[in-house]
Amino acid sequence: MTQPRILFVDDDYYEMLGLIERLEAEGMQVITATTVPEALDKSKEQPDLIISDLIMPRVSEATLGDDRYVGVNFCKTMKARFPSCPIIVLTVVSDPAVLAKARAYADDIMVKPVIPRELIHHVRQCLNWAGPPRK
Amino acid sequence: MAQSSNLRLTSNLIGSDARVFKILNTSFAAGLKGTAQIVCKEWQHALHIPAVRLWAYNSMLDELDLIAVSGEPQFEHCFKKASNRLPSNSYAGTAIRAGRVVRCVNPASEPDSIQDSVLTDILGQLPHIICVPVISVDINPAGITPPFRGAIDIHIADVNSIVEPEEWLLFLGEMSAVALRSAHCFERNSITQRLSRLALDVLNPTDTSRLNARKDFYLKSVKQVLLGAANAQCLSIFEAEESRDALYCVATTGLENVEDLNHWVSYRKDDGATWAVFESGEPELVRSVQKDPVYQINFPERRTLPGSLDFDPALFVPLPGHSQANPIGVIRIVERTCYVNGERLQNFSDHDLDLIRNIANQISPYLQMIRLQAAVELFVERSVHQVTQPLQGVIGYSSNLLDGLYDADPATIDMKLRYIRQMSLAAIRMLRNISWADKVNDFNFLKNVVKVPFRLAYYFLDRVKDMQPIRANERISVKLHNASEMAHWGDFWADDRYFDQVVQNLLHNAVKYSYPRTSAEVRLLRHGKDLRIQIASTGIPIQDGETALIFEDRERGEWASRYDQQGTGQGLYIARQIMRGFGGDVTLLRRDSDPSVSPPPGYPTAQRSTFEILYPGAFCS
Repeated sequence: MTQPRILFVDDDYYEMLGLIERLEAEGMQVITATTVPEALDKSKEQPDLIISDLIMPRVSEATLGDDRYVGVNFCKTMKARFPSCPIIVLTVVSDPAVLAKARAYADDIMVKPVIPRELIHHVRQCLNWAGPPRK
Repeated sequence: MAQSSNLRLTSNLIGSDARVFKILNTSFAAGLKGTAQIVCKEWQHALHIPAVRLWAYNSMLDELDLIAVSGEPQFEHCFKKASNRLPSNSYAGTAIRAGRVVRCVNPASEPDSIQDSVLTDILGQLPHIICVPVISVDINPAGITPPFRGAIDIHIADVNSIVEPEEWLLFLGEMSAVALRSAHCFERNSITQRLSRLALDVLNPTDTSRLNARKDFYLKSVKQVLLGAANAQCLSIFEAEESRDALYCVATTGLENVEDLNHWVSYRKDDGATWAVFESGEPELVRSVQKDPVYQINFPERRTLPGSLDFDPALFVPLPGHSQANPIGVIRIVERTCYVNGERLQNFSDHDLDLIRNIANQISPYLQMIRLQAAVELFVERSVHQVTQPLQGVIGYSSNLLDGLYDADPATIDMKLRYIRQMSLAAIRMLRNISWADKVNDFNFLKNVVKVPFRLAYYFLDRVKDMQPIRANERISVKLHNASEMAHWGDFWADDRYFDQVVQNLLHNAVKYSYPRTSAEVRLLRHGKDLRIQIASTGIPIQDGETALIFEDRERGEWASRYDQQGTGQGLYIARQIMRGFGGDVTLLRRDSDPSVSPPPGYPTAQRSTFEILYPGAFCS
């Protein structure tokens, strides 16, 4: 299996670094983005998996709408762009209505704080579910 | 023995003890099930409890400001030995003087070397006692003497009865510290799994479920008003024999993420009697409505249905207090296609409109309550985010440390421990903000002040280091000026809990609202016995009309809100209230435009904003 490419999108980089370090320790290549525009820019090629937060700064009104759960729109955009790419949402949001919206585009939702080992387990599951990583 | 049944919480946790709890439980008869945690105001009181002495077991605790110990009697001698090694200005030294020492014992192996009567006597000296409904806190479930091979086991009786989440988080942090410093003693990951679950239990579902319960109440109230009106046939607008689904009524708050209160009235064909059904998910009715913002602007009271239109006309009745600038609270009536004696009915009568206005008047207060509730929910969501995010950092790094991810590289481990500490402080700062927000106007707010001496340079150098990891990837640095000058100023006296909150709130803001590749700067000025702390950053501008607003509770500047959507707008408010309580103030000293800094795309020209903390009498004991 080639090294899976994971796009990790979260505005709080250092608080997520523990998770990123663990993914890298598992042999995965992690591409990080702290804003949605940056993530869109870095995902011109399909990653093998996307991990995204739901609440992030809204940088552009035009591209992201006025929903404060910017991550939902981001997931929607990415699912439309890469239908076969699994998406894991990491969030502190517990509102069922918001989670239902996210679930429409996300393959998995994990509530923060996430334990690195649990995240690895979910990532592996998603990658298997989506088939082998793209070559 | 403290007799008050109004248990008071302080940060001076000392620990849990099955026997202590037994006495407490009898005394308070509070119905708590499980272990108690005891608070000593004075560190010396803790010394009377043998198990406290074990804290010295871990000689590396001098970097922690909270200390966890266990209850094994053979470590009695360690206490003095270790305390003598602690520098007077170390964290542990400060923590001891402030009484911030935590004791966690194994209830199953608590030694019986202390008599109940002695214990009662000790408890009698304690001015403050807290009870957190912890069933057990067991860092050594197997009851084996060190080195332990057990796991931390925490059981909570009822998370809803935890009054102060801040205290609970402190406790979790302490347990985490134990695990980190004694990683070889514990089963890997057991603590992080439990911590994360417990943190979520405390922080997340508890608050939201309470809020949702209230929201449901408000929504039900509105529906009751509408239902009452319908039952009184106030809404019997169309009583034509042929009418079916005559009316679809929506009371809308106009608020984001607040569902409309859908209501429709239909008529039985046989007797024409009105009956009402409240359906929020009636797809057929909703689908036929074309939402046109023009309606919401013009509010025409009478509309004629053009024959060419294939959608239903709508009529909007604004609630009292409604304006175009504040489009909150509208009753929208959607007229379904309706025929009376073969003639198409298109409009409401004046009488109908009066009835609808009457309903609008009745439900207006409820909609306002919903509006407030929505704001509260947003605040809670942001607060949970601000607490949980750093907790994620704590758990992520802790777990990696336990799993040996950093290859036992001392430099990396030290760096990660600093991150963990900084993130724990961030979470605690946020929780304090939340818990203090409603208290800072209370006369008694500052009554438990205990001033202790600080070495100012030492303190600020440490605070600045704590801030460095925040947004370091955007190359935002924190600089402390005149540190060498401070070294000659002598002792500075403050209650570390309150003072630290003020400094951290302002420092954190400075870093948070800086543009990338800039520096936040801290400068201290001594004027006699007074201290002025100036904290400057270059980034998000504060606009002319916002200089007073940003010091209000839960208010934020426009650009600040866009830049950081998770902020709750409490930091400056809390800081100012605390400093005013000490006779000082927090002010916005200067705002200077700085076009030399490149703003991120979509953001305005940078502004160098300088805040000043005035602390009078800071150099008096």
